[in-house]
Amino acid sequence: MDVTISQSTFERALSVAGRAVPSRATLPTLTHVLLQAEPGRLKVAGTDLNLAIITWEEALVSEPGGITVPAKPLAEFISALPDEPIHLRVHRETWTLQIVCGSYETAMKGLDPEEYPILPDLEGDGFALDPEDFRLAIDQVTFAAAADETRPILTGVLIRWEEGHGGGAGGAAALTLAAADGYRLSVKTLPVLRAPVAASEPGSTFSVIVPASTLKEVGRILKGETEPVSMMVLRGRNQVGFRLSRAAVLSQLIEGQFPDFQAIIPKRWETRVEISREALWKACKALSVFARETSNAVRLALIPGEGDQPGQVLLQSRSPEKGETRVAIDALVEGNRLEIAFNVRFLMDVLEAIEGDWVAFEMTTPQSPVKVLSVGDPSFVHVVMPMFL
Amino acid sequence: MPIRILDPGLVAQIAAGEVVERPASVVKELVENALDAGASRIEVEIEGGGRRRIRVADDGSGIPAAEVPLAFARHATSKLSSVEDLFRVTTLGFRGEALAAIAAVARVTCRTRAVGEDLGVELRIEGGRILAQRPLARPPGTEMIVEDLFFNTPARLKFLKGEGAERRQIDLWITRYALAYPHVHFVLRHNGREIFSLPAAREPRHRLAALYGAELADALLEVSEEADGVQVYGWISPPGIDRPDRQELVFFVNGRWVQDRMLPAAVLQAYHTLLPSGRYPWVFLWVKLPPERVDVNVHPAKIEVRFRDPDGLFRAVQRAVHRALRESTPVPVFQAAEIPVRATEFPARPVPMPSEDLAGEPAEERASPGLPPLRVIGQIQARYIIAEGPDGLYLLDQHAAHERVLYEALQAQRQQGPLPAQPLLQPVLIDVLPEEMSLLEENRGLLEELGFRIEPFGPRTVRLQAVPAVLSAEAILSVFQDLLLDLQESRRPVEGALEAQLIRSICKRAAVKAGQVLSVEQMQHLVRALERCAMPWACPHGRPTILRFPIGQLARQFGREE
Ligand SMILES: Nc1ncnc2c1ncn2[C@@H]1O[C@H](COP(=O)(O)OP(=O)(O)O)[C@@H](O)[C@H]1O
Ligand SMILES: [Mg+2]
Repeated sequence: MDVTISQSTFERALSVAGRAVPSRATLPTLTHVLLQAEPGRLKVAGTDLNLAIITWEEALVSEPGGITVPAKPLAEFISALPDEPIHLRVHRETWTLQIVCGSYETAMKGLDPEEYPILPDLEGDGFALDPEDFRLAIDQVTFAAAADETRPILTGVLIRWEEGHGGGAGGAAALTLAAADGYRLSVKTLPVLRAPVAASEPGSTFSVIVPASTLKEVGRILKGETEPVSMMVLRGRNQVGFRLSRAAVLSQLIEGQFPDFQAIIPKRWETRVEISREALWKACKALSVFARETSNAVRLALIPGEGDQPGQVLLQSRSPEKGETRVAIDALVEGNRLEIAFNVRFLMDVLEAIEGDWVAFEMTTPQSPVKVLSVGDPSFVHVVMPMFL
Repeated sequence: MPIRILDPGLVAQIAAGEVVERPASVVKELVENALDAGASRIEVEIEGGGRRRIRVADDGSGIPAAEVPLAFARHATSKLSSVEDLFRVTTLGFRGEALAAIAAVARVTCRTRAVGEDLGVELRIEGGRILAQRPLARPPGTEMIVEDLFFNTPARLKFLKGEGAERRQIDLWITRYALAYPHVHFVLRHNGREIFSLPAAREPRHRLAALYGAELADALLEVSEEADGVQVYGWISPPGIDRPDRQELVFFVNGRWVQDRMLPAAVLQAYHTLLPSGRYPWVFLWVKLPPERVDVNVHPAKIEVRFRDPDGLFRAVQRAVHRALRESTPVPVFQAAEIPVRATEFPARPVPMPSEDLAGEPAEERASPGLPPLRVIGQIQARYIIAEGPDGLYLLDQHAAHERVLYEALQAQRQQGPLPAQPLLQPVLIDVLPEEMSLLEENRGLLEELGFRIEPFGPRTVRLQAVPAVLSAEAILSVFQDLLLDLQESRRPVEGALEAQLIRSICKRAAVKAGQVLSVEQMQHLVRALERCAMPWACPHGRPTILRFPIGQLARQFGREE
């Protein structure tokens, strides 16, 4: 292998692929990155066997070939170099990688790339998704997934396809994404630019559970992407793949039955509030400082308007030392007056995930699930369980 | 000494009064008799809170066949013979009234065989009348069965509390005696179910652990002092481990649990500023003094005593407790000897011993409870926070410090009511063992107060509907497992102990973990919150939260005499 690549490009590639490299592994090659020179480009890949991230960067390839080298030391060394062309060369007899950049030169001991896990190609027919829509959808659902490894299914995001059940704007074809951690649920419909042939047959359905951590990685790589992304389910391998213009992510699926989330979404309300997302977020932020020692609780009083008085949302948190803190925000409150309490963290999470200026809360009783919507955006529904004080 | 009827002159000197007020007093008297008989194993079985049946069996000396009826006569005792004896009582009993009083208001069966006799006796006595007596083969020792207590005094029955309350009172007495006599194997059963079986413990501390949990027992400080014939020993809680009531201020005088004003006062004075107001320590203290220096003939239930020299004893107890507390430095000063300072080569100028520095600290400074304002410098190992204070460098254990902050916050919330609960969108179904099911059922009320909502859902499944809100970021199933462990562990009848244990566990789970990287803001918040704590220097489990490196010590270690 003999390659010349710019320092900044190589650094970026290493940091992208490096996110899939475990810091410790029973198999030594797993702590390595794979470098593979192909005509006109350098492929850099990392995997922990659950997740693989592969990226391709433009490079001057004089001789194809490959090697694996310890990921962390390589990334640290490269990031310390000046932004100048880097010349990489592999000595196959000893599997060492020689790195030359300006006046810097070093050699790193590596391993035969044949020993590295085989990462399947992601060529083929998939769901084409708009990169910006997909990134937003990922942000809006993954925060509601559980970090709790004892309930593995909830650490995943359900992705469901039902041919003909568009759900997208104007009944356009769409995927449904859902995540829940036991206390809250996020559901998002994501328009599909083009469905693969196999999924376009009438009545075709499927659903898979993708680790939320995988989707977060995809979301990270999606930043700045302009080309449509292709998502494909590798049924036989129980894997899902995402193909971007210069990268690919491959991940194991989570097996099991995702809870019936439709049943959790409240169908009616007694009190409905429309409130400025930013004003509410700021109030939550201020109160969260005081709420920290009291289980993060904030109380909300929802007061409908009367006559020419606007409706109001009164927020309040209490801490043993600092006493009580209150904030009042004008809002559109319909239905009954209601007092309810939330984990302020849960509120802030959903407010940060929503994009619109106005957010709506629909509730029935202080003990029942609450529906949170972004006003004017039917593609997103969130449900959160209030707190009992 | 054989059992004999006391002469009227002596009877007149004995504190008069009723001994059998409720089932617990029966249990207390029977257990005292078993202990006086030198038992090494005592089994207590209770049915219906003691109203239906009380059985106390021991392997002690037994009662000689010929003396059994006499044992049930009024003022019949084998423990006193002269007026002088009354002033140096070494047994728990001495009034000779308990068995008579019990037999007068219940149906009693006494089975006993004296050591050295070949055959035992069974005596049945009801409302004071002997119904039957027959020989019986049995091992040495005594078994007393008291059934239908107060069957012939309906007025008394009316004043009894519910089964639960009577049961708690019984448990309290057994706990006290199990603590006071750690070398005796105690077994307690209620309605056929074993509550505990405590094998003879080599050390009182092991018994303490069996009753109150190893966690508390390990955290307690040892007290041990002896001066002019008075011995004070036992265990007390370090500052930072406390409770909202005086219930666990426990004192034994010559092996007898006593209720006294002076002893708790002496202890609390020794703690003075170390406890926030309204909080009390855990104290288990044994006082041993020559029998003639304490008068136990004050109260018919023998739970009050009078000391010959109360002032001397007050000082002895206060001194003993004070010393134990002083030896546990609140903000532990880092022991510099552990740093390999030898690396710097100044052979001519030896590194001063850190102990000098310790000795040089004024005692008041170390005993003062609050923390000075600290400035956060950073985090190391994602475990410890480095901070600067006016008097040196401070290192905080982030997990222990957060545990302390949460503990005080939750305790404060508990004073006001139940802890906030975070319900689940969909309940989680969890399979449990029948044993676990009954523990969950038994403690349902307490669990709800702490934020856990758990309902049975079929014979072997429960529905977990809510968890304490502070735990909503934690793994639900692990939280539940912790809870089951705590419930199993703390099958002890000590009131309040389970709640305290559960709160400590909640704090432990909810606190930031070692290995968690914290932002500067988070660290500042934690340090501020710790500064506000009443007892900042120990986590609820008694481990230190903070270490101090005095400026002077740093200077000396760097060879910078200033
Ligand atoms: N479990 C027992 N083992 C041996 N002797 C006992 C036991 N219980 C009672 N006795 C005998 O019966 C006597 C009377 O008991 P009691 O009425 O409790 O009076 P006291 O304990 O004050 O002597 C005791 O002094 C003792 O000799
Ligand atoms: Mg007695």
